[in-house]
Amino acid sequence: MGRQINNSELNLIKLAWLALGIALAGFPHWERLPFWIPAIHLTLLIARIFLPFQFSSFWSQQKTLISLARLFIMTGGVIGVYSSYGSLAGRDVGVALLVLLAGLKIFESNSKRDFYICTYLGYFLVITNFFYGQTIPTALYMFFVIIIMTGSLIGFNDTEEQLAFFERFKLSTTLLLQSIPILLVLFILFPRVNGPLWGLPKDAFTGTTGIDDQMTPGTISKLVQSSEVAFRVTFQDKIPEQSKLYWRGPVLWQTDGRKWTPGIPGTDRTAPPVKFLGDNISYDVIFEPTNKKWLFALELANQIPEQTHLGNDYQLMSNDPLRARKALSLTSNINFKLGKNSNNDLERGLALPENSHPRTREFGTNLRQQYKDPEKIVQAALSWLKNGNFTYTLKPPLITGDMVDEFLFSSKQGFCEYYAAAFTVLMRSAGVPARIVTGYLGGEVNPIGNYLIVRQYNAHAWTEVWLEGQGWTRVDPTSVVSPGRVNEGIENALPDTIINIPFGLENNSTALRFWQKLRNTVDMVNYQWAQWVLGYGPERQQRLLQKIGLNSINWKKLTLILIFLLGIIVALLAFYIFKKTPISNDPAKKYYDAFCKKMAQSGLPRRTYEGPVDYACRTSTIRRDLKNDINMITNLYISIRYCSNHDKLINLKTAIKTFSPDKIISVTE
Amino acid sequence: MTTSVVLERTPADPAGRIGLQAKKLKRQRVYIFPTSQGWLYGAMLIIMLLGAINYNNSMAFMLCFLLASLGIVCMLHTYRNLTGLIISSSKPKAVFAGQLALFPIQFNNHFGNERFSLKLEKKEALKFKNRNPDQYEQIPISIEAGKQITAYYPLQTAQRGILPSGRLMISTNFPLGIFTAWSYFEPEDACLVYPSPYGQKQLPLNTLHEDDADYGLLSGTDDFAGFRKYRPGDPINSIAWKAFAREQGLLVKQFSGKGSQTLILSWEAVKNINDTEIRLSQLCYWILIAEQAGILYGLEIPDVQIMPGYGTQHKETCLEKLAQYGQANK
Repeated sequence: MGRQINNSELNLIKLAWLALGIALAGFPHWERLPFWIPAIHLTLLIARIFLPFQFSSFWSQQKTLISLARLFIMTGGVIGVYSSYGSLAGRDVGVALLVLLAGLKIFESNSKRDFYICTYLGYFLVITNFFYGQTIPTALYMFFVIIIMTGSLIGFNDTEEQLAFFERFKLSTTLLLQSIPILLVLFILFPRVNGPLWGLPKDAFTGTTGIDDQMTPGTISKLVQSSEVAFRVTFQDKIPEQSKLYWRGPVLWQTDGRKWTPGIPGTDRTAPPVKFLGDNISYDVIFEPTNKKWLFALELANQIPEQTHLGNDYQLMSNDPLRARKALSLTSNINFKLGKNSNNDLERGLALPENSHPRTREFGTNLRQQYKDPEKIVQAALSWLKNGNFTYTLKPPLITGDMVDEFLFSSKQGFCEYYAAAFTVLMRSAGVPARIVTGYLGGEVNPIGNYLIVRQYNAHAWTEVWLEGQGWTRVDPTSVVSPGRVNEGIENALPDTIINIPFGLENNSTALRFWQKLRNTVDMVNYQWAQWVLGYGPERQQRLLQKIGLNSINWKKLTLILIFLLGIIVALLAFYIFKKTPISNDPAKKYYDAFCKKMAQSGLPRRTYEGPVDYACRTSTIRRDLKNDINMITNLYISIRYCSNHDKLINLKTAIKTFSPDKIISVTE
Repeated sequence: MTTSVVLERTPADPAGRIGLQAKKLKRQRVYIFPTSQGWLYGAMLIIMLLGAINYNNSMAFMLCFLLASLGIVCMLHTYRNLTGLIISSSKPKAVFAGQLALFPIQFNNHFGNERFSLKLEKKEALKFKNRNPDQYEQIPISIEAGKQITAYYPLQTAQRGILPSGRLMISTNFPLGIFTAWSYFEPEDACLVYPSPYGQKQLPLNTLHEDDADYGLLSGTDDFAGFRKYRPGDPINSIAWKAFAREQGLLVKQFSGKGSQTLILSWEAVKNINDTEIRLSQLCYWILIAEQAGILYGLEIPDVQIMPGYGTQHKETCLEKLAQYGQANK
């Protein structure tokens, strides 16, 4: 019986609005899903709204048929999802099933309870979008979707149809806007813990690019095709010059002749000794998520924040993979002497695969015999590179034989990883311990926010050689081949398509400058968003609390503070919502009241028993000078209020606005 | 208006419209609680929060907190939708048993906010909760800002007597249906339920007295005798409207003649009916017939004696006595 009553409550138009909200919430997923899932989803939504039969009666008559259809669609959907993804677990599968389920639930909706479950499924659909992207446009779009869904919920509860459809969405917007103060308190103060609480599906974080601890020819030139942001840096003082901005990443020791890996470090696994010589540089970095542990500090980091550690080659690493944007405060010193862990390092720094690079080895042996001193060997090798007709290119010819030999002695074209690898092999051949350091070089200064944007195309690889007395010393072979890469940044060396300069703008300097400014502004907004919204986690919360003087606060105290503040905010909000709203007056009455007030100020208040006409009679005899004005206003008021001449409202408004009893009296005097 | 309550908040009174009345108002508490949909909403929020923590996803936190805040804001709006209403009742019109009793309930909205989707229903005490809820009507109510409306709460009558409406509940789920706010109102005035007019017996014309009284109101065959001043209770169809139109005041046409008859409807006349209720029904039926036929009639039942008379007021007095028969001393 109860269900029967509910049937009549489910109005098709109201359901259609909810279906629209759900379709919009699922829309960004469509391109990520196998085509048949959005197709079925939409078909179900449209079928529920537009099928010609009266569903509620159909429902009660054809219960078995419908539950069979539901069973069939859901089983089919699950089998389909399984065959598409090969699994029934994971983020993508979850989304696929949720989209199917939302469609099916709308299709079978027939009661109040169904309507609510559909709305809640819609809210879940919204949240799943954030697992794929948390940009400002996504957030705004989702806010819009929530307005629609909440509006349809209001419509559902507006049983007396008192609100027009746009008023429902206006009310839902009002409700959501009024929620924002509470939302902010919750967002800032809700005790945050480091996730995850349980194992995440394997595909939880995909689609992230970045430097890894493996390098083959082409690894970095592939990264350089991407203008995605790797991290952004705000320096406390001025930004150092481009050629000093070496961001240290994974250090590679071992090679099979083509591929470079970190290899197996020695037994001593602590960071090596370092001597810092210059001034410290302090800066804040926001790293984009990579799902890896690599962090990139300016060479060399000398103070590291919590939850990070230094690797045994002095690379900065996060304790946990970077699943979300991470904000860190770092201090570095660009003048340093980097020592070694143990003598084992020197052996590793000389190892070469057997039977490889014969020509390079031969050349290396020659260099050693000729110069003896490691420092001179390095200089000789660099000048040989400089004068050897080497070119720096993103598209080197394909090398089929021995990577290093062929590059150094025949093709002579390559990108930074070619130079770093070849130079390292050459140094090892010449008996100088060497290793490859990967990371980023330079960065683009955003003048609007005065911070540095380091993008994937700033990826770089260079060499470190062991010089007795100086320690591990950076040698960047790319710098001798293409000095511009190091001194002016990579942007000049890259084709315009990679740095996203729109076609046709290359030759128009004004438009180009405007475009760059716009791009910088957008990036600045994104940076702040990343810093304050997306990067807001346990660390940032802790830092913020410290800033306002709440040191070492535990979550219990924080919860108490949160509840206290919530109480205050809700009380203020209640005061605002409940403030005694007077009954809205007729606009004509409102203007007339203003007129009476003006008259009262000039010493002629309206008596409680007086109607407008009597009042006009009495006052116009006392104030002859105002007679015309008083009569005009009174006549206008009467004709609007009692003869419905609403078009004259504007006349009344202006007449009363310009009406000024005191001014006129001064004229007559 | 007999009773008035105000739901929690006393309205601001810029126009002096509530005036002294507001000070006499009885404050009635408004209760608020999540609905089952509201609990489900809370469960959804917890799942979202766990997801947000697990994925360390700021926007998921944001959405979860937004929806939680929306819940709190919705609670305030649901509460506001009900509070500040002034509810009063007036005396319902008497009905015959079997008819619908309509209890007029006035809702006065002195606030500037419109009241959306309110429901008025009868609320049994908790121990009757397992009764079929469809037994009582749910009256949907909406009130514009600053307006007053009267809703009629219907109750099916079954037997004659005095029917109190009992406690009525006014509730609302607006705007999101995740909270329900409710309050109670108990109208003071009960509905008088006359016996249902029913019976097979003819009018007891043997008790009809030829009356020599010089007045009679039976129109038709009798001669017109003149006017006299209107007395309350005189039937409307005997008023001289033409005279009234000539501004001579309310006059009643009088007829003279031998047609004047009086009828005593007594307990004696129905003594061979065993069931008291059927007796009362029969008497009720006779009263209606006599009234329609224009016969002067009186009523004699135990403890009650009404002199013969005529007119709406007379009829209502008689019917009232029938309704209250045996209940007067309760």
